[in-house]
Amino acid sequence: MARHWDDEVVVYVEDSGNTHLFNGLSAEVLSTLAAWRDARPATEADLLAALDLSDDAETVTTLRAVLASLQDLGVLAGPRAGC
Amino acid sequence: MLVADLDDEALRRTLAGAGLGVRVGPFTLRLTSAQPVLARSLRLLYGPNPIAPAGSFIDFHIGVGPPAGLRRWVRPRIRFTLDGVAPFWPAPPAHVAPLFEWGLNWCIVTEAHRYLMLHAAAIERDGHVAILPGEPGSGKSTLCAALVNRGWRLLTDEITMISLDGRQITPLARPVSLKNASIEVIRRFAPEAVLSPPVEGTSKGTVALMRAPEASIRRMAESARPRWVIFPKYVKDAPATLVPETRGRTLIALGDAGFNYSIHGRRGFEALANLVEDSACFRFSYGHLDDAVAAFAALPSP
Amino acid sequence: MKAADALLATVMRQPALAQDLPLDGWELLIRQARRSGLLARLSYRLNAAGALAAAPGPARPHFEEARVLSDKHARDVRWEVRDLRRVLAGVADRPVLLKGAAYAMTGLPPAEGRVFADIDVLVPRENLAAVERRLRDHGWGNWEVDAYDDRYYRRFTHQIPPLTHFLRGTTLDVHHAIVQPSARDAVATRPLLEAAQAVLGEPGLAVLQPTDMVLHSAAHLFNDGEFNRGLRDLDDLNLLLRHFGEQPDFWPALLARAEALGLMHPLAYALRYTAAILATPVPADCLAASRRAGPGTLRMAALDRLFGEALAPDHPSCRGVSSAPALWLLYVRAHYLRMPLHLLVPHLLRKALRTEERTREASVTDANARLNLPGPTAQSRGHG
Repeated sequence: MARHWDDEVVVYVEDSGNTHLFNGLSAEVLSTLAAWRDARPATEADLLAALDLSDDAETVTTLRAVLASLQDLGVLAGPRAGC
Repeated sequence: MLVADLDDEALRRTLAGAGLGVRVGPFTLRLTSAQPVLARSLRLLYGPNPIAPAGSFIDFHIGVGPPAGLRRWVRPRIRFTLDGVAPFWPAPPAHVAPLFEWGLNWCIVTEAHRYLMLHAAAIERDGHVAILPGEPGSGKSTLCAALVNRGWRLLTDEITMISLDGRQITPLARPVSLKNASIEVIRRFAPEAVLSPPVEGTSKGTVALMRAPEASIRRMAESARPRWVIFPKYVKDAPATLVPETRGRTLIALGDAGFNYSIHGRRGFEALANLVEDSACFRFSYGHLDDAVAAFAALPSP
Repeated sequence: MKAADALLATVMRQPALAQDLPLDGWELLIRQARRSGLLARLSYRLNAAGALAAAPGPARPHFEEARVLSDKHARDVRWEVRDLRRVLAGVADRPVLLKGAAYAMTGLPPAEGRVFADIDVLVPRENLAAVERRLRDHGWGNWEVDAYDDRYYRRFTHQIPPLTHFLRGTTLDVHHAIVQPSARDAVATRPLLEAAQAVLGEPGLAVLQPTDMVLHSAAHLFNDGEFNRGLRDLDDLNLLLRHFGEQPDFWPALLARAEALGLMHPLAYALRYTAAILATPVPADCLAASRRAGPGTLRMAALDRLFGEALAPDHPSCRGVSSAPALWLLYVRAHYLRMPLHLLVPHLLRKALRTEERTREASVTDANARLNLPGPTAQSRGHG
């Protein structure tokens, strides 16, 4: 339930009924994962490589924070998704 | 046959009797009232509207009359009812025109979920619709009133009704609501426009209603495709400026302007996404109506 | 019986009849159904009978709109119930859902096409204080109930005052009994909680067992004095009885349980009026047994007249001047069942003075607050 336009992604989340707009890193993460969707499970390393990011501590922390918040919002499935 | 084709006597009698069937956009209303003020208001603002043939299916059964428990009101009052239920406090008879509009707005936004509805104006030229969301401070109604007096067709100034695939806007062609200073502005801008007498002391200040142009009412059955989403903002003396807006931000802003966006859930999202995908989206600021009209005339065809 | 003669009731009994309706018949049917909160349910019923296809073109969007709304309600209820489970973890680990919330989470027939108003939940009385505290900590409160009404709720009804969520506006009714403890015929809650059943696929939630679900629905409709959704509530009973009644041992169990809980009278009304108005196939011996245990002939005749008015669709075509006294009498009766006599009259006087003001205010505030519209009491706020 997402649309991708330029550097933005809008997502409708069924469970919460909320609509979200992402840009910047969050949008890139979502676009990348969407492209991979049926191909293979994504690892952190895969994402960092695909987004052309270095694997230093700060970048990894940021990426994890983005993933966590996407899970909290129910946009990505994961341990913290939904209620 | 049109509402204006009935003479005063026949109009009053029909309203007070079996009720007057009127087509307003895609809806058929039946209006019942013994109030002479309503008959006058209808003739002025809905004169060009078709009378529904006898035996039509009625979507909204509307009454305008005195409230129950009449003795508690010291001065005369009238109220708007939908199938016997009154959503608002009663108002003085002089307020009948805005009361009727607010009441009809209420009927449509609470019931008409066959559409996705946004708080926005919609105008059309050459088969292309521009949607003007009504954020506070936008001056949307004044701008809309001006544009439809300069060649644009009026679909609506308040409730934009979108098909659930996001590709059609269905007209209402109802009166445009003007307040306070805008009333005089439009009178001067379009002296030929039909305006109701100003009504003072409403919760919005002084209100006047501008009848939709006759051509817009005649074409109330013609839907058209959305092609522009333009967020207007009135800024005193500012030059007319169009700045592109991203599709993502437009979608979110339209969702916020929705009357029933969350009711439709996923379908509402898909409708807005399709609409936004097919439209050029802009933020528009302006300080003078003539400049705004020129800017709209110069909009590149989609 | 008046309620049975209404067009809506007739079509609910025999949906196929709708196919023969003229245009204005469909129009009236839709108006009655909308006011009764039954428009979506009716559309599913008509569809199941193959009669929806016969609806005239202009009528069809009205049915569709009702389904859109009921779908939204269903999504909202499920979300709210799951949130409630999370909020109450630790103070009420298996709250028992009642009425609409119960139907929604179990997928029972009354869930289809339902318009849900409040969430109703039953907790043991000893947990009540802790539950209330926890809810208030999570944004639930009663912003509009004054001290008098607050005392009334706590002392004379089987729930704390209704709580509203400050952000979402949802209403939550927390019950500690299904019939008020101060009533003449108090019903013990413990047996209900002990017999409550888990909800498949939803850990941490429970619903009443089938006989108790029916009896609660009957007690609520026939003892609580509220009939603005009378026909809808009766149809919930109709659907529950048809569904559970497919098991032949359900009916004797229902009678026995009603006897044990002291709810024979509401059951007698439930079986009598569902059979009369909605053609519920109640086995003859069960109907006879409940009738025997119910009120005497004269009293039943009087109640037939009153309930005949109250269970009619809440539309001007069905409820007129004759309905008001009937509704008032049933309201008085409900309070008679609930309050000691010496407190009844002052309470009713106060209610009579305040009800009209509050209802009108509530509907206006509600209407304007939900919508971004001007109006005589202008309130601009974001919509839902």
